Parts: sequence; structure tokens; C-alpha cells
Amino acid sequence: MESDSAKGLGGIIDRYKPFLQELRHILYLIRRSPLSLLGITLFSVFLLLAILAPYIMPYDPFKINLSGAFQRPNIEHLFGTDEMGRDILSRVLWGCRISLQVGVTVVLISLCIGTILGGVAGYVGGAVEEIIMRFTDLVLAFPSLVLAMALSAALGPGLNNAIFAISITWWPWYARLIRGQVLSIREAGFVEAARCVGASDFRILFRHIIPNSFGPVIVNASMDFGWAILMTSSLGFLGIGAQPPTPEWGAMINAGRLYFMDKPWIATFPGLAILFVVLASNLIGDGLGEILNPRLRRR
Amino acid sequence: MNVLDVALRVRGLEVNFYTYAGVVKALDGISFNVYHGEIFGLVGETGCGKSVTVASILRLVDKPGRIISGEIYFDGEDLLKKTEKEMRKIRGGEITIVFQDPMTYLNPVLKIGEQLTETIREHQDLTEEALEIDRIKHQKFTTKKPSKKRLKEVAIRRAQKALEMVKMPNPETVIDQYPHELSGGMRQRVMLAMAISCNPRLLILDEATTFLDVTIQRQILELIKDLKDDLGCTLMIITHDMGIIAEMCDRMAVMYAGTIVECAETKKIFGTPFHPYTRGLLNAIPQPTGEMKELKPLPGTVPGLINPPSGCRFHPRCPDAKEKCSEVKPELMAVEEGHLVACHLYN
Repeated sequence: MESDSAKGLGGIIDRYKPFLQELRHILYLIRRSPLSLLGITLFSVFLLLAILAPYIMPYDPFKINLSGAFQRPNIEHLFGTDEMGRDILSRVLWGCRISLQVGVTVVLISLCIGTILGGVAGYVGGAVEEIIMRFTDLVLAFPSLVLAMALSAALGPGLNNAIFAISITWWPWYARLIRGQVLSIREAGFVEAARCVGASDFRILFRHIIPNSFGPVIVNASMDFGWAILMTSSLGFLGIGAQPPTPEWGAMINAGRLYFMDKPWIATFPGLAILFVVLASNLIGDGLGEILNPRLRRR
Repeated sequence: MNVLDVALRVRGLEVNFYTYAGVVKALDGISFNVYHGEIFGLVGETGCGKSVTVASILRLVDKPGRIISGEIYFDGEDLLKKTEKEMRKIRGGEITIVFQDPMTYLNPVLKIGEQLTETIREHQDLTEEALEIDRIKHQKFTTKKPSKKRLKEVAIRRAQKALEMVKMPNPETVIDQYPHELSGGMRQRVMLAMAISCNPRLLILDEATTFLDVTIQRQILELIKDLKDDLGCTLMIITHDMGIIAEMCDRMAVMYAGTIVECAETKKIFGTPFHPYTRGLLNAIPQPTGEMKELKPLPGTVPGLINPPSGCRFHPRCPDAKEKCSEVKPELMAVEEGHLVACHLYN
């Protein structure tokens, strides 16, 4: 802006001072809760590994080398090799990419569906709300893994179908959450003010109400991220998610299951990877819950 | 003043709220006129129906409330007969409101600029000015629709102008700020800027200064008076503060339990209040000058509106109540020229 350039660098710094202070405050809050710091660190490590996977993988995760099958963890293959002689470390790293993508996709899809349905239900109310929310209850009444399995099996095995199936079972939670938020925010003054300046219902809902309702949703989403990965792995393990040779963690555990008694490393390392990603996502969720909770701030 | 000068004419407005406990008769057929260019005050206790009146004018009475009957003419057009789409044009464009609590009436997650431009883009035609900018600044000669970016630029400009009009310090910084970064007085100025940004014909202040401390209140009221003259709009002030009414308003109406009990020029009402309720109200205000008098509170409390008192709604608390008062509802009638009172004492 003109005024900023007129005031020079000092002006710009002044302008962003509150923002910087806010950032510092957030960092302070994170530092104060060691568990969320641990979660963030863990998650960053996984994120980094996922991004760098193609460059740091020691071997091609798909390369079959039957003569080198079932190697114990050693210097050449840190995590050992599986029944086809593929390097497990490379496969776990590649699996990182898949899992993180799955987590993001599932959460985004279910968030979109949930936000729209829950938002409309909460804002419009009446019969529309009843219909949407009862349908939501209907979906929730199914055990989510069973529903996901059924859908996934019906659509045919495959990673994309698994993602779709899980998203379909997941959105009702968001719909409920958003509806509750919308119900309370709908009564806020600024909504009335927006109506008084002639804003349309669409605008009021999506511009004024929903952005204000995202606090708890973000917390939930960051936790669900881990759950989504766990669900996908479960489907992979059951053989209706990602199919071999895709190095998806669940599918890898399934493959290692047969040899678990005498060759435990095949299933253990992908299992540990799942454990840590889900743990990281839950810790972040808890931490965010604390940071975004206004009652715990500025103390 | 003749009919043509009437900006807002409310006739027999009746609003009910259908609650679990029963039907709340929030407005019991109120009537009043607001003339062009005047400052009209609506005064009354909490819960007497002031805010419902405002909501009805904008047709924003929420469920379980409903406008039962009546007419609301704004510049000769019946607002109750308009479609929802036409009403949206009027809200924020022709009739605007400044609310009491700027804290809750600004959206915490949107920048001030965005909230201001929202109104401006909804109600104003920015195409002309956007094309002008294209021509002068960017040497682009088209008659096509200007880009969204350009329209936004124009809207931001107008928002800045509106902020300047309300004497906001550093408008260009404020536009990029969030509501929590502003003080209460500044927020109220933002609300005011929002209300005047589209040159409304009727500006309603719904307890607009209640939450501010007296010095800021004074500043804002002065500002509003100036703005009213600049814009040439009509002003309606809703408050329970008799001081503000006395200071600002040309004419006023006193409300009690969903009815208008007295309506006249402010001077007349403060000089010779006719209705016992108005008299009681004025007696309950401390006088800074003259001899020290004991304040006389009105006995009793405001009645619940589910089962309002029969006849005149004020009769159980009225010192001059007669038998007729509990039976017949008094109509608003002229006691003097331009001084309307709803009381059986004067018939």
C-alpha cells in the first residue's frame, strides 16, 4: 500500500507487529505444552520424509529381488527385506507419502461434505435440518469400519475406493460438529448485522458463520487425520484397501502377517510407522485444542 | 408538515411472539410518523418493544415472532408488501442500522475492510468508477465489465472514504485490521461507517452509544449529527437514555409495554408531559440544576407481555387510573397541535 511505502520499512514492521506478537505467543503456547511439541516434531519428521522420499530411499520400493528375500535388518537393508526381497525401509518411506496423502484427502472430503450439510442444516433449520441430521444419524449408526469395508468391497479393492469409502463414513462427525457451531453462531450480533445490510443467506452462512465455526473443527480434523490413516491401513490389512505391490502400510503388515512368527521385521516397521503417525496427529490435535481454546490463552 | 414529508409511516403495527409459555404481544398496534430530515427518538424501558419495532421496519422479525398486522410505509412504499429480494436492497442500502454493541456486531474473523466492502459491493454500482480507473490509470479503454480486482479496489476506496467521514484515525491501516485490534469507540465508528457507506435515507441508531463511555458517546453523537446534515438523511434514535433524546431529537415517542403512549416534539414532552408514564419517567431523572428534589420512582414493574393488563397497559401502575382505564384501550389522540397522547385522562 502507498502508506506503507511512505513510512518505509518501519511502517511495514509496525503494521505486522500484532501479527508477529501473535506468532510469538503461539510459539510460546506450543513450547509450554511438551506433548504437542513432540507431536509437531514427529509429524514434521514424517512430512519431511514423505516429501524427500524419492531422494532418500536407498532402493526402489517396487524392485523385486527374490534371491535377497527375507533378509534380517542389516547395514545394507536397515529394516530388512520382505518376501519378494524388496527393501522395507524404502517401502515404509514411500508408504509415508501414500498415508499422508490419504489422511489429507479423507479429511478434506469429509470436511467438505460435513461442512455443507451441517452448515445448511444448522442455518436453515426446520424440516431440512431434520432430514439432513437424521440421515447423518443413519450413517453414524453403522460401525464405521464395517460401513467402510462394505463400501470399499462393493466398489472394488483399491486405494482410491478406500479413500472414498472412508470419507463417506467420516463426514457425519463434521456435519454434527458444524451444525452445533452454526446453531450458536447464528445468533451472534454480526450475523444480525450482516442481515441488516442485506447480505444473502448464502453469504451469511459461508462468509460469516462457517469461518467462525472452524476452531473446534480444526482440532477434530487434526485428530481425524491419524484416524483416517489408521482406517486406510485397516482396509489395506484386510485386503480391500490398497493392493500389493503398493507399499501402503496396512497392506505391508498384511503381507508380513504370514511370516510374523519367525520374520517379525516385515510387519513391525510399517506397524511402528502407523503408530507414530497416528500418535503425532493425536498429540497435535490435543495441542491445538489447547492453543485454540480462548479460555486457556493469555494466562 | 404534510403527508409528502413523511419518511417513515408506521400504522397499527402488531407483532406477536409465539413462545412455549404463550403468545407474547410485543407490539400492540403502534403508529408513528418520522418526517424527512428530522431526528426522531424512540424511548422506553428495556423490553417495551423498541428493538422489535426496528426489526419490523427491516422485516427482520425472527421466528417465533411474526408481524400480525399493520403498515410500514417508507417513502410511500409499503415495506410489508415487498419481496425478500427487494427488502435486501433496502436493508443496508436505504435503511441502515447501527447497533449497540460493536464488539459482537463485527465479525471477528473478517478484516474491517472486508466487512465494509461487503455492504458497498452489495448496494452500489461500482462499474462506472472501476472503468474510470481502468481508463485513467491503466490506459485501458473498454466498455466491458471491469475485473473483480478493480471492483474490489473501488470498494476499498469507498470504504476508506466512509471511514474518513466518520473521522477514523488512520483509515488506511484500519482497513487491514481485525475488529479485536480496535478500541470500542473505533469499532463503533466502523459500524457507523458501514451504515453510512451507501448513503442511506434512514439511519437507525439502536442504542448505538450505550456501551461507550460518556466522552466517546458525546463524540459519536456529535459526529452523527454532522453526518446526518452531510448526508441529508433522516435519523431515528432508539434509546432508554432521556439525556440523549433531549440533546439530539426534534421529535420523540415514548413507548411502554408494546404501545406508544406519547408522541410529540421533544421540547413539548420535556416541557409538559401529558401521559402519567412520561411524567413518571421524567420525575425519575435527577436534575443537575435547581433545587434538590427527591427522585420519584414509578411503583411496580413493567408487566409481562404474555398476559398484558387489560385496557391501558399502564393502568396498574398509574397514579391517576380510573375505572375506564382497565376496560378500554386508549387511542393515540392529539391533545394539542402535534402532541399525541394515549390516555383517557385527556378525553
